Amino acid sequence: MRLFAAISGPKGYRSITHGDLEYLDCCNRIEQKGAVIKVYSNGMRYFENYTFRYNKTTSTFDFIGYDNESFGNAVNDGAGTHSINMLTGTHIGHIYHADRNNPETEGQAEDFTRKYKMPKRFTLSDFPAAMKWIEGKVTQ
Amino acid sequence: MKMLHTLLALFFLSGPSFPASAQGTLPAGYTVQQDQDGKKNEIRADFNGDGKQDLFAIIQKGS
Repeated sequence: MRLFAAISGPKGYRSITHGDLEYLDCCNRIEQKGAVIKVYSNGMRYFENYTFRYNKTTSTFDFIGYDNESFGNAVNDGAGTHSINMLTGTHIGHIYHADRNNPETEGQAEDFTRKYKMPKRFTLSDFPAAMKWIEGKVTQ
Repeated sequence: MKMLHTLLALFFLSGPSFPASAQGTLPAGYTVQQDQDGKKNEIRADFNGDGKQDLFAIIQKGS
C-alpha cells in the first residue's frame, strides 16, 4: 500500500510516492478540501487519519497532521486519542490507564500536551519515516 | 473509413476519465485502491493551479 500523487508540469506529470509500508495497515479512505487531503485508516481497535497539504513552493504534499483514536489493549489500557501537528511539533493526548501492575495510575485518565523539535518537514515521500517517528511518540 | 472516423470521434468524445499521462505514472504493478463501495480512492484536482488535473491516490499492488 502506498500513497501516490501525480502533479502536472511543463514536461508532463511528475509522480510522488514512497516506499512500501511494511508494518502499517494503511489506508482505506481519502477526502479532499481545497489543497488539503485527509487519508483515513480504520483498524480493529483504532482509527487514524493523516493530513497532507499541497505546497506550491516545493510542489509536493507536506504531511501536516496525525490524529489517532484507539481502544488500547484488552482491558483498554492505553486507550485514548493523540493529535500531532507535524509542522509545530505539538502533541495533544488523552490516555486512559488500566494497568493493574501500575496501581499509582490505574483507572486514571491523563491529559497532556508535549512539544517536540521536529527532525524535518515530512512530506508525502517521507511518509514511512514520519510514521516511524510518530510511533516513537505515541507509545511513550 | 466513415465508420473509423465515427469510432475515433466516439473515443475522443467519451474520453478517458483522467488524463492518460497522469494515470500512466503509477508505479509498475500498482493500481488505485477501491473503497468498500467500489469507488476509486483517488482525488483529481488542480492542486498547482496550472489548469490541469493532478492526482492523489491510495495505490496497492495487483489489480
